[in-house]
Amino acid sequence: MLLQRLVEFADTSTEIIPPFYSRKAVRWSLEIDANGVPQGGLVDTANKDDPNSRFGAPRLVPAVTRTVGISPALAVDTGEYVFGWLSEGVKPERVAKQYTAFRALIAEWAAAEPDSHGPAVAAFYRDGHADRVSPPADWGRGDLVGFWVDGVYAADAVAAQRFWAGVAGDRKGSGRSGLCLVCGRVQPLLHTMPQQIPRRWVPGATQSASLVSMNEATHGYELQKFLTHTPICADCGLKFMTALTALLSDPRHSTSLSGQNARLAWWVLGGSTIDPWAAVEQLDPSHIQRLVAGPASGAEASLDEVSRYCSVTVGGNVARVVVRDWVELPISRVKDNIRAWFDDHRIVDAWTGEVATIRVSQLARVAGRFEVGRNGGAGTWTKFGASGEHRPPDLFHRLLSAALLRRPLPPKLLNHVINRIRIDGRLDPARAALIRLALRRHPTLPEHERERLTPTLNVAHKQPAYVAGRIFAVMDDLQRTVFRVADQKLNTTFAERYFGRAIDNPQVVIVSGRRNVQAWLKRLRGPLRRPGWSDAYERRLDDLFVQLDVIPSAAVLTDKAQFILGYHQQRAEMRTERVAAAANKKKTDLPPEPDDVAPTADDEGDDA
Amino acid sequence: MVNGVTLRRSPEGDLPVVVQVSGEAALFSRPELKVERVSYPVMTPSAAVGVLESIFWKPEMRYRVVAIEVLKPVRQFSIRRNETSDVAPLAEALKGSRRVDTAAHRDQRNAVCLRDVAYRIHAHVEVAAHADKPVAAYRDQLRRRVRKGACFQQPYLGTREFSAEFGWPDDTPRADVNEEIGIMLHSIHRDGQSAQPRMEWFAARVVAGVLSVPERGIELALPVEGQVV
Repeated sequence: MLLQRLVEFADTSTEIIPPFYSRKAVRWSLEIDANGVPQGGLVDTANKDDPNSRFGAPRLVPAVTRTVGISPALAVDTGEYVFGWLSEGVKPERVAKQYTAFRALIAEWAAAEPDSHGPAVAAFYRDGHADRVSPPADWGRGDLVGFWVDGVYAADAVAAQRFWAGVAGDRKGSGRSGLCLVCGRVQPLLHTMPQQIPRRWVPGATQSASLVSMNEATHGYELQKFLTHTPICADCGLKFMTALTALLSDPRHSTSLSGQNARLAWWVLGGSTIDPWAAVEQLDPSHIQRLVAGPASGAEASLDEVSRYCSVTVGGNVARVVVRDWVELPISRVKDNIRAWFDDHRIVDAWTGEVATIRVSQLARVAGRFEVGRNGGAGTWTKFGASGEHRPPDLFHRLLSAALLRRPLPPKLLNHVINRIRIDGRLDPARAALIRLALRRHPTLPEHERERLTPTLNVAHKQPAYVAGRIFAVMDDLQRTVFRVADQKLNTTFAERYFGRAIDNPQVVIVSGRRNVQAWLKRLRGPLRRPGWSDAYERRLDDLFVQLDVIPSAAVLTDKAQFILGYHQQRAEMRTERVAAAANKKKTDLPPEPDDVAPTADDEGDDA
Repeated sequence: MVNGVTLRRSPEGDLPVVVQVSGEAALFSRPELKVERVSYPVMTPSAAVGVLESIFWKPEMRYRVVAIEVLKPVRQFSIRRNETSDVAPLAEALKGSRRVDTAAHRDQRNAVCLRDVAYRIHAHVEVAAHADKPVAAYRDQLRRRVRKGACFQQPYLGTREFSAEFGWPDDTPRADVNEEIGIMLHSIHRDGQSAQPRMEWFAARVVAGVLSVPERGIELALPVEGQVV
């Protein structure tokens, strides 16, 4: 149903694209009057400062797929076709044929539509004006040249659209009519696809690509090439190619992350106004608010049932579009999935103490390598597609599918992220969110354990690895406090030194840490004269140790994840307590946070 | 009515025969996306006929699929394979003078397939004019073969790579699949009057896990007089 849904999307689009037209940059314009006399020279419409018109003003122009044959377009084409200009390396005899074919088409147009702009353009050629137009200095072989006749763009006129539809239909049609596979109506059928999707929108394609293509004998039923056994009418063929191009090129309907091996486009049919992308990627508060309040208010329930979410993931294979995934779901299910997604990944931010939701692209980004900044500067995430990013190649799409369609996460993701945390020594809310998400959706984790994995610290969660993570966080905090009070510089913190090892085997680190703890407590109590703080830390540690029958030693994957989660949430909890105490809302026995560690805007978390 | 599904009876008033098939993977290519293949979400009637004919077939009989029950939820996966775009002409292939040169004509193609599928196929057996036995004889022979697990060749689910297990139907509940699938191939006829086969199609829809197949499809490409076919 992919093609049908694309045609439906094209039908709901407000922009009406004439048959066999597509939007392209037209760089050069030539104004002529009704008698074909040029009104000035060629006008360059390119604007280097505007990304949309860097190569010329974008316009709807007659266009069908051209391969090796000579095939002129109507009233707008390259300099070779329109004026017979030669560029370096081209064959003059071929260009002469192109020029002749273009003029012949103009003559046909003038004869077929005498009331159109065709006669004016034909007169331009007949009277020899074309020979007097010389190529501009910065003319490029691929630049399009278009005619304006008395202030009207010649290819825009209804007569031009009508004539071109006939010409292009004859070129691309199969010469037979029949019931179309897409719309189910009797229509003139296509021989090949009339339009292609530009290469830049199809990752992996080496040239412009077609969604339906059977150009080898082995591709078709009974070794028949082209659309012989796939009856598709011209109207549907144009619509779904136009719709897919429009979707893939629209950042509101497709992904734009570089370095991923596919591009995902989505759209909603049926009247619902939800934008799933805005909900999970842009985290638009109003969208999320509407989403969460939706079931309670009951608004649009019936509309959600009839509306459909459609998404297609495409890659390229030379000149063919590869459909990697195709999904169609009722909007009500998508909304449920998004709510579950937020429930599963929301996590407390260790700096603000607030529960945060994370963008899907950010979750994909933090699964990659983190490069520590030089000389104490802020670190950066390795860019998508960069060398050594160490990020699963299709992670973004897998996560997006998990968010919108509730599909399982990649099985290796949890192990991958834990490894990255160990290697990078960095744990921030996004990585903690990935850990919580992977745990909550882990196929073997019992349901009661899953429910205990709350976004903030859950003191009732007594899983040994989780408690061990909490103990580790308290020990690290104690060490920082001792050195801060003593006004000593701490080159490497307890967590920086032992976090990786503790993830693998909490027992070794906590047992040896316990000995250090005694020394730190003693300093705090004695020379540093902070007995209250010492008691507070000791009480916390005792409360935690008493929950452990045995300190876990050989940690399985979920235990490692629980340890990290416990560590992150305990740290966040202590910071929240301090922030609340500083605002006089709550009493705490913890020492205050030093002022000099306030996070910067780019630093979402801190290093473990 | 069988398993809560109302099924079309044969001209003789009989209920269809039932065969249950399952497999780890399946690929029922959509005709519009058959190069970089995308599978229909459920089994097609033509694939079901292929499965039944692998188990039992005689020139005196043919199968007419009535309904296909979907027993497992639709799950997809994607694979890429190296194939060939080379075809040896029939004459050379018969003589054995030329082999398909895959290495020189490599064609990499993607396929979106189905994972872990199971279906219950309901089909009538129809006999040809020259059949010398009643239809019940062919039906019973099919049933005996299904019970024994006998087949002429291992049945497959859409493509040869995905072989199918088959057996006597059990009471596995249907999956909750409700989907408009679009136009699907109903059957292919070769009546010898034209070089091109005649194809019948139908608008497929799965309701509560059942794909009902009409008795006749419609022909998609209808040649119009004076046009090149």
